[in-house]
Amino acid sequence: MIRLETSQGTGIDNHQDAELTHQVLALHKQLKRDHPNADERCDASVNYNCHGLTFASRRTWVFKPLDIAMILDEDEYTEIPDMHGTLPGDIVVYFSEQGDPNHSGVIVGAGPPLIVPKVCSKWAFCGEFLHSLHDCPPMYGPIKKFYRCTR
Amino acid sequence: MIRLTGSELIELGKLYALANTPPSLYHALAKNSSVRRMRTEMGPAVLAADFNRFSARDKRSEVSLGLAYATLVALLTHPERVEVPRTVERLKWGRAFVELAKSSGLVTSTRVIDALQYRVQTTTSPASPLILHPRQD
Repeated sequence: MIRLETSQGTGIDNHQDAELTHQVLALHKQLKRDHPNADERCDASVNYNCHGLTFASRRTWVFKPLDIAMILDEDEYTEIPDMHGTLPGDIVVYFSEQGDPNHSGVIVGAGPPLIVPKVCSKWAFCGEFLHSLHDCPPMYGPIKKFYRCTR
Repeated sequence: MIRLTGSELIELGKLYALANTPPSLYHALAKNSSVRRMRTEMGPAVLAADFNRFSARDKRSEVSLGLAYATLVALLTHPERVEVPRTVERLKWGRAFVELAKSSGLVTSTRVIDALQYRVQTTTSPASPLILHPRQD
């Protein structure tokens, strides 16, 4: 665990996993085959997860749903109601039907002529991928919300 | 006792390796067909014993952790009254899973259970290195 806080100084629970196994490396390769239109940005890494990429500069795992809500609030993220209003640098959070923030990523391509934003996100223990909004593992959830940090 | 194939075990490992948060893993496992079979075909004491065994393994892999979490979810979502082993602390997200089950009213107390009569058994070894050996006794 490293020291990690919101812009208002509230602590964010986190952890760093230690060991990268060949099972993860094999799964990462399988994901590349399963998502041929997604571009691999970097190989598997256990040091951070998607929320660690989006909210903690790739330093650690941020994994508590309440912490994600707190970050969005205390770092003054504003929701963008329509994906067509997103810009590179905005973020997307994938929610489950239960409202849990299962996944997140950074928008890297958006707006005309692109219809669907392109996202850079890390798939848990596996690597980072550049993918279209919907082209990621289905367990991440059907609800996508877009945010911009306006602080 | 139920039997899990190599592909079913790999699927559990995949869910574990792709989960970013405890709720995402918990809900994905709760919907998984192997976990549903564990829940319907095994009693809570048996599941608790298997969980204790799986979570005690020294050498952990994504598949063995996926199986341990799957067994825990089957236990926590079991239709019969559930008593949670204290050994949930062995798993990084074990306590979070119990809290998720509590929030849905499925768990009532915490207690160590020592039932060792049954077990999850693999019928085939998954592709190397995803090895989970069936018990020989």
